Amino acid sequence: MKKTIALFKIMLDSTYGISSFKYKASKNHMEVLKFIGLMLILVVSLSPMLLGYIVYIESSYKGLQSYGAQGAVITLGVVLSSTLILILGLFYVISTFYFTSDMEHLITLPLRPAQILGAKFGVVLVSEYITELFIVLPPIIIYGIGEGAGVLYWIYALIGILIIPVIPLCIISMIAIVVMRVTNIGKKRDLYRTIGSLVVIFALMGIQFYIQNVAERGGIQKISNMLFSESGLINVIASAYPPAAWISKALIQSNGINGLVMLLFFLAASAVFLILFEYLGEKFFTGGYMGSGSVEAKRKRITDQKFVKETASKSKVMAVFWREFNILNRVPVFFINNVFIIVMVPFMFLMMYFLSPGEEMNELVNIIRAPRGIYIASLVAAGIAIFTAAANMTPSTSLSREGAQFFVSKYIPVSPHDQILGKVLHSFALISVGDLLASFTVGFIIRLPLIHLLTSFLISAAASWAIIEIGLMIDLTRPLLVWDNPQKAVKQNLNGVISMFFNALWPGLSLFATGRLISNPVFGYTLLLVLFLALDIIMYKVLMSYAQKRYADIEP
Amino acid sequence: MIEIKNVSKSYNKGQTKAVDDLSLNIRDGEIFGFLGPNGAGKTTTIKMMTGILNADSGSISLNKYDIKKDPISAKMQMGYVPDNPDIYNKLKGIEYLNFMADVYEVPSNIRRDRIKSLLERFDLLDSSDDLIQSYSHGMKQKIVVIGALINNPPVWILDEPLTGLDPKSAFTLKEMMKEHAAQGKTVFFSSHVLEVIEKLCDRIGIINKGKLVFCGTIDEINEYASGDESFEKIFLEMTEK
Repeated sequence: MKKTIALFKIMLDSTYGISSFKYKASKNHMEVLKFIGLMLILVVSLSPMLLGYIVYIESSYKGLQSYGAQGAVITLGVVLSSTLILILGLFYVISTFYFTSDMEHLITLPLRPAQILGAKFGVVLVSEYITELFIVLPPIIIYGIGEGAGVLYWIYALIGILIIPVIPLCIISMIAIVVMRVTNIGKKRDLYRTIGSLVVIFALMGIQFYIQNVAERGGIQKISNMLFSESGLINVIASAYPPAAWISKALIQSNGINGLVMLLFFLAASAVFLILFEYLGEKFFTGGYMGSGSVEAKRKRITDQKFVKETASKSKVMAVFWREFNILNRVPVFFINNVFIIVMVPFMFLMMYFLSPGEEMNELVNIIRAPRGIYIASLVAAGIAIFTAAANMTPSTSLSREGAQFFVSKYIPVSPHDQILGKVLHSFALISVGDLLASFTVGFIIRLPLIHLLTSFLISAAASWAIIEIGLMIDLTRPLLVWDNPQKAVKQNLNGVISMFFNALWPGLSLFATGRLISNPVFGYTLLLVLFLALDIIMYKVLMSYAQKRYADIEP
Repeated sequence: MIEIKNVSKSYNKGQTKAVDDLSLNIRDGEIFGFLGPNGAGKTTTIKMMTGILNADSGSISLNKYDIKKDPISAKMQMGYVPDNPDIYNKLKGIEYLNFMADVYEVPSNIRRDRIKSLLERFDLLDSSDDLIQSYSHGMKQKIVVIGALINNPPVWILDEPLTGLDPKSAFTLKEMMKEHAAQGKTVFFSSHVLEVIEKLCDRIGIINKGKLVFCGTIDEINEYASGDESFEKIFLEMTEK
């Protein structure tokens, strides 16, 4: 345990750059201000979403109060945060467990696999707390204050917050260990692993949709019958995930013995999962890791035909484009977070379409049949496509992904203009495919006429070009070039988060305002297109002159 | 030709001076060895020469092109081998070389001949279609060296180029440096291996704590020596002050 804790401390330090921040701050006090500024930007960009969530929880709380079922808001928070960890955590866990550069060193030290895994689990757990707090804290506070809860409630809440991510994280970690062990075969393990993990994610999403669907179809009647007991609704929501019910009941009944029993149930279940995880880790971790870094090497002379093809000459811009393209597609973490994500949104919509009851879809189709329906629906389709573009971190992590290799970009004779243009074109090639998939999927579901469908795609593509430029501006401002795990360059890079929220905001507002203020579709579409294209041009100029300055200033 | 005039570079807001008022002139057709203990400022100097770092003051020009004022023209003059060959693990060897040929604007027919002959010379022809990730340290070093020669640059800058190379490749590289200089081109390289510097270089520069403490030929350095002191001993004396 001592070794695990020592290892955990060092890993936490290097993951969050605590020592390096302290060092920089001691040399330059501006670093502290920069950090505070960054946090403020983050809070501001997250606040609309957080505020919306708080309002939703508050109104649910009040709504459920009349049935005496207000405790369900806590269950909702627990289930939501657990689901997020389950669906989004797999790649984070895999890359932290297996792909950090410290692994080669750690494996040579006299440590048991479970000790290395334990420390790494701790690091992942800490970062999950950050997401969890945003989701679990609002219902706990709203319920606690609303009910005038006692001291025990807040103590149980604190314990609950610390333990809630443990079970989902154990589940995802065990899946990761098994996937990595099973796929650690042959020379194409990178490919097997990517496919294996995608299958798991799709399966988890499928199960999630299925449960949701069954719960909804279980009949409003059935649910409302149960609403009249305080934990009736909790039982319905948490039937698929009992620990969520236990911790909710522990909090709701914190003033009685029943609360304590429920808390103990929850703690015991978490402990069982931890033990299972440790057992599996000890048994399979090393087997899954060994040889992870090695890749297929044919060591076969290249054919003349292929040699000629591979050595065809390209412009500098296209050389950068293809470098970006190859690296993004070949690093599994980059591929999943940047390329795969473009099929995620359409997939989710299709899933909803095929799993939802027919009458809901009919309602949607009816909306379109209403006056101005097609126009508004087209704007919504464009909005969804734009959101997939904003959520794509390819541009906003473009320099960060170069990491330690950024020095190459500094010494090659390619101007910042050409390098950035290569990156813009690469991001656009990818994101416009995402726009196309998203707008056509949504268009198909709500049966949008082709001309409107094409228009919404064009609007989203025009907005995407500016989104890419803004994303690159953000990454140019603070590129994250020091990382030991590719996950840090994309998934844990604040640039991606800032870009996502900011880039979802301005096009969203433009679409909303246009839909509200302009009733003529032709005029509305034209205005949006002109507006976005003008922004594309202005931002292009701003970005290029900024890149000229930043490429000179950034010293890797 | 490389001209370094009064170049300084410091870190931590001037608290740590990495390079202090350095001036050097490296002529065409010359192999220049750059020596110094760890942390003396060798790599910082090289990084400023290649445009990776900005000098706080002074100027650097490669074949008359100023690296700050006319960076693209200056960079077109050079081939650079960094001290760490960890580059683009997820590209294949051939893709990396073609990327370098593209950015240095090497015409297709010339690049094909050059890539093939360099791959053959460094025994990499059979691995060029594999990912760089699958290469050993020495193989990575070799592919980077080939990438730096692809444009047959007038100025060749190498930072610790012999580290990790097997004896045959090290021999090949040294021969290539000589050939390069014989064609009237400039070779600037840093190394810790004193014997190599002694045998290979026309002139050497010794840097210590950011300052140039000696610049001249091997014969000139021997004049400093009292009696028949070895090059190693003279170097240690110069850098222990």
